[in-house]
Amino acid sequence: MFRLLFLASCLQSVVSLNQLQALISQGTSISIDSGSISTIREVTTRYPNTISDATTNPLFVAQIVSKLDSSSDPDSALCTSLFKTACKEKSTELAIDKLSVLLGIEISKIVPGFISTEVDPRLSFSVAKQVERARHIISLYEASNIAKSRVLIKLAATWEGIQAATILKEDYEIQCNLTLIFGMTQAVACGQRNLKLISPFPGRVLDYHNDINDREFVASIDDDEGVQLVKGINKVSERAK
Amino acid sequence: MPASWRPSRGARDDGFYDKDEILGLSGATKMTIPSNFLERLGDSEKKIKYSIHEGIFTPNPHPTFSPKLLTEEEFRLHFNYDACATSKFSEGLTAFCKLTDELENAIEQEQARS
Repeated sequence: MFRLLFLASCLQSVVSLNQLQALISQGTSISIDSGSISTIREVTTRYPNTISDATTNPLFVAQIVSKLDSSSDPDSALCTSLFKTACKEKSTELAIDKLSVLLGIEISKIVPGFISTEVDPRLSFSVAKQVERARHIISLYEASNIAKSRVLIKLAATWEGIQAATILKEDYEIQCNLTLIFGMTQAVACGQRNLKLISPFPGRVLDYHNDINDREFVASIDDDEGVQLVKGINKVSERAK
Repeated sequence: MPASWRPSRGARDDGFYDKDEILGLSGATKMTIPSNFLERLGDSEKKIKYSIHEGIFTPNPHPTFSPKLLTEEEFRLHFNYDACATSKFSEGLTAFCKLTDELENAIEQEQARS
């Protein structure tokens, strides 16, 4: 392992790597944050072998509606077809899950690694309903021959979301990405349960501190409260191992 | 898996500082990065001089972290103390819920049509 790391750092000084390749050489894997199939295809083609995963969220699923019958969006025909297929489900709940998974399936054809689907965010304060919907989402992926080992279920990191993720991991071997993390308490609770992945939002944390301090930016990256929070979370999770 | 990014030191015309939060956390296990930032990173060969393992970090305020699990009461109380976490969480979750309400309306209309 040490030899590999050493080689990677030598490589960066000898061959000029772009910053995506440099991040990967430092142990980071990269997930594209986009719900646009054409954008994901374009960016992964332009920077080959750098982007392993893709992340979606309720915004990207909802944006499908704005692309229906659009003359300017390259994904319009595909989105119209996904939406019509999803609307054949018996209830709106089932249709939302179906549409989210259909988007994930399309993305899985482009990226080699993890794809992610978020559970209906309105269920964020119910353990049982989040477990049920996560299992339903996984069953839809499995029916399309996508193994659960490739899927990360996104849940908001409420107390109930953290409990649901623990049950999904221990009882069903379903991996979760706990999202909307803006503070240490949420991160610690997830770390204590050895959950697969958490998503803190450094940019939003910086926005908060910029607002309350009436400033537009900070003098140094070391003064960025969002970056400080993620570094602290990283230290806590290393200690939890 | 950090998932939102801002230019910490302000956006300059030449975009020099605009991806510094990403570079500042170099070495994180995973990063979720929007396509416009991926393009800026992929098009730059400037050496990364930061690391997630160095510099100033927020300390863990929970000395009981290990081995004692935070209880529900402790989780809710400590989360409540954190004004940034509570306000940004509320903002983020509310936005996602409203978008899902809108999606549900669009689905209902389509289902009623067919």
